[in-house]
Amino acid sequence: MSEQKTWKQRGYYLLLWIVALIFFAPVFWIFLAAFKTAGDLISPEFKFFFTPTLDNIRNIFQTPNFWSYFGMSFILSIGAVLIALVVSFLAAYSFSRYKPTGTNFIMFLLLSVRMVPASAVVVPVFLMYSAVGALKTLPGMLLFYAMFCIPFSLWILKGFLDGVSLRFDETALVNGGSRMHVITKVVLPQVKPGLVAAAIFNLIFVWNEFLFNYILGGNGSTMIPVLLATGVKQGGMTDWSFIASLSFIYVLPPIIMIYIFQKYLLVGMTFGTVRGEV
Amino acid sequence: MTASQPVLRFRDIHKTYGRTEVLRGVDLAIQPGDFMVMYGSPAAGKSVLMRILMGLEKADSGSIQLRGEDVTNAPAADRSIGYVPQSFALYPHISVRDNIGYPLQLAGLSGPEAMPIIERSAEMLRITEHLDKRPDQLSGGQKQRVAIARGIAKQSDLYVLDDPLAGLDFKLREQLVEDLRTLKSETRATFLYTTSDIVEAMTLADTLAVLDRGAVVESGNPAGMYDAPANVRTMALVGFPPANFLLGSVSILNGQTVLETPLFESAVELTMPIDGQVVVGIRPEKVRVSSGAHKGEGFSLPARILLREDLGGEEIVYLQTGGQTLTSVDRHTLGHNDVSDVIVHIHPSDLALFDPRGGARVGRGSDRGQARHG
Amino acid sequence: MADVRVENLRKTYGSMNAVDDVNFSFPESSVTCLLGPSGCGKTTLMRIIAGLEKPTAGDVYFGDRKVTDLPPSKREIGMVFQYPVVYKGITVRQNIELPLKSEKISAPERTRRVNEVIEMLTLGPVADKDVSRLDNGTRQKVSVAREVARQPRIILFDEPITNVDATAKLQLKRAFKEVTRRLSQTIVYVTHDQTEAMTLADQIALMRDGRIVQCDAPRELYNRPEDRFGGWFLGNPGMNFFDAEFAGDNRFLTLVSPLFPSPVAVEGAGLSAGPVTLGIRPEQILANHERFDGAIPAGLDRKSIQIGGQYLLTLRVEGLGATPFKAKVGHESGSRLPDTGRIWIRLPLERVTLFGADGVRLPARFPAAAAVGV
Repeated sequence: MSEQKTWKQRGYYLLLWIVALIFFAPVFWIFLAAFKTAGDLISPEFKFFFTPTLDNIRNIFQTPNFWSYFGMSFILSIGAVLIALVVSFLAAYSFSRYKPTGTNFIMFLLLSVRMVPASAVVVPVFLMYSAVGALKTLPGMLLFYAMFCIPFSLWILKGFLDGVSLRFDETALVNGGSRMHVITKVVLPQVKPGLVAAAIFNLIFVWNEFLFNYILGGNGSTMIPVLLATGVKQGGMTDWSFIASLSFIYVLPPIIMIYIFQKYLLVGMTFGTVRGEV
Repeated sequence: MTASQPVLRFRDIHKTYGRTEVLRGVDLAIQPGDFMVMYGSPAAGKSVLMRILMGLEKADSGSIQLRGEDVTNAPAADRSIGYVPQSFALYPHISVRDNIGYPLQLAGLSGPEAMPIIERSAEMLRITEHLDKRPDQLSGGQKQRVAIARGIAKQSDLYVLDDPLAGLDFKLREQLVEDLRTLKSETRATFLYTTSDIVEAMTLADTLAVLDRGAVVESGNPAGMYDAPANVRTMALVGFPPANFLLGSVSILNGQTVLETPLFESAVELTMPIDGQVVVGIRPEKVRVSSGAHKGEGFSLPARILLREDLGGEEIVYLQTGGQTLTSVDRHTLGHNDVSDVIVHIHPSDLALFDPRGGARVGRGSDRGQARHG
Repeated sequence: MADVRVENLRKTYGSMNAVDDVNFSFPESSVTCLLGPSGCGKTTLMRIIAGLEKPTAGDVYFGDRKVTDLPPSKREIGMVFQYPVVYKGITVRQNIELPLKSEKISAPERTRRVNEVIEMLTLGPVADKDVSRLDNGTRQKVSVAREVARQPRIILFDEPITNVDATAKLQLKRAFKEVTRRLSQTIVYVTHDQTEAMTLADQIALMRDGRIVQCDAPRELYNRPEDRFGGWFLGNPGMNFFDAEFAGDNRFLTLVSPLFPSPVAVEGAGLSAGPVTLGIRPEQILANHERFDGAIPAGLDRKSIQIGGQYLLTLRVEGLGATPFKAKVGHESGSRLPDTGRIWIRLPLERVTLFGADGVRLPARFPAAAAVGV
């Protein structure tokens, strides 16, 4: 009986690997392409074995504006996410603990903001930004992304906060702790996985955002995706080396970050430390 | 503070949730240095009252006086009471040691100042070897002991323990009850302790308060309440196994007050005038069972055994006689033979009479009486 | 019917031995309770018997048949779990009948069996009700009924009444007694509740740390524990233990302890001078406010009311160290005692058990006790 089981399990794993590899193939192609010469890259036969070159990467580093765009990707992603986390954590705490009338409806409304297609709001936002003179400014871009990150962060964090028993707050309160103490010292450490999850999802969103950055941004607030989309044509041809090597460089930071933080994404820290409720 | 001034006083506390009136006017005073146990069924509202005392809930009406001051509307942080909540929460992100030391840390004690207090609490609860673990590495019982240790680590003159031993192993409870009594004798502090286990309540209490239907039915010395309950509900709630109750009626016959029940009739002595229906209470240890003939005075009734529960040191016998179910407890006097038909002996002087309206005690059985179906 | 035998049974989880080399036979047609504190391995042992866990080593036999490698479904066993397992949305009767249908038992036989268990477990009034509308206690009765109706050779009960309220517990105990009185299945019943085990078992197998420490009839186990663990675990509170000493030589040995006014002659094979542990159950200590024959003075720290109106006394005796011990006396004699202060106690020799340094009971006899005729 147990023999059969292991064969079945092996079958499943094999299938999962095949599916994963199929999905990974284009990424793999890009990775390889980043290290190929233009000749190898556009040769009619796919070359598995080739002499790798760092020329493409070096070229990217010398592309005008690369470093300022790359830096802007970091500033906007991290800045917007930090603002969003602070705002949404405090909001989520209030929603979770004080349960104002209509909490559920407000939560639904917030999420529905994310359901509207970006292309539907881009023109109104453009008009508003141009009216208040926020176009092509760093604060304008930063606040826009923060605004976009808040609903989703709020959703995730409220879920996590609801899972932190009110008894934790009460223990602190009866022992003389202030509300600020409860929020920062008692509740915050327990929703770390939620904060990390919200941060990662939003970082990826902002990091890869193109449309709004293209339309609302300008000098001093443009990120790599815009460069990626606008720099592909070189002399009337699609510059595959450029795409591949810039993509390669650009996906490295998020991959490293996810690798570092993945342990925080494993939830379940508080199970069994609270009696009397689940 | 003089000895006569209570450290804590509840006055007419009311609390309603939706349509359920949980507390209907709780009045209770606790003297300094007392170990008061509040006993009531799990849904009696004990926890709500404790949470109101701690400032975690607001009473609909009524007031709380703490150390001579009105704290009805004071925030939780200002009450400085050591508290072991019924549903406790240990901080998962810090060690057991830091969990226990948490109230001390909030009170501004430095690490070296707090350490001996933490160690002492941990030692008492037998969790010293777990001090450097995280709460999620502990078993349920161990976590519960950490929560108790945290509650008593706080330096206060008043400790509130809300059913802290519920759900723990029988043997562990036996041990912790001892330890809590020891703790009490070693400090001058006042304890307010709730439980829904009457034996635990009687074992721990210097003063016992019975909470039923949202109000304190009676409070006082446990032995006194056991022997002379002023209310039928006190008799029903204080004591294990629960007392037997029969419905009967009293009437005056030839100048003598006579009680009639489905099982027996007896002369009774009334302390309050009553005519008609009464509730008759009999403690289970006063229902004596034998497989042989009548011993001594009192009524003898034939009965059938429904179940014999062996508690080790004693035995509870559930009986059926004359359409009534009776509970008896004794020290294995029946022996181990498989008897099912027995004789029940009840002495009339062991009967307590209560007014069915209001439940006040109105009298007791006298020395004469006879079984109806004996 | 068949007995259940386990040979050299072992189950390890990591480095822990949940079941540690157990050789044991559960006698056929009788009720054996596996009793022990949480974590003693009783549930694991039962789950191995049921086939829900695979032993690390050793074998399980039902009668002469080795079942170690059979899946649970092929073992012809019935099992009742801690939480009632019922099929919601259908009636009690249908619930009981369902497994019989899948076992292809003829319709008249099905009806006969269903009616029989319904009567046996007094489920008549609810037989045609939907189980979703019943309380947990009754649902558990239904789970019992369903297993009984299948008429397996062996029925396993895994703490079946732990999660129901007090009234339902009593009903289930009665129902269980009735079922076992009428049936001849081999029953293994796991519980951590000593009262349950003492009430329901034909014999109790007491477990500790993955081993069966002792197996005996309930009263025998209670009165003559083979080692200190049995003395401590059973009873409420458990046995008192005191350090004492055998003095003299092989020809004439005496037990010396401050608990006796003078050294007591003791005899028994293989006894020699040296330290021993003296054990006595709290309810077997006699106490009086006045001096009586053979009594020694003791300090009463506290008394509290217990089960059946008995008094639990916290006592100290000079020369026995700081740890107090317990005595349990009847209501009348307890009432005569002061609240605290000096009283007189006596340990009847025939109730005293002696244990060696390894905690195992010594084959000691007291000639003086025998002379009294006990």
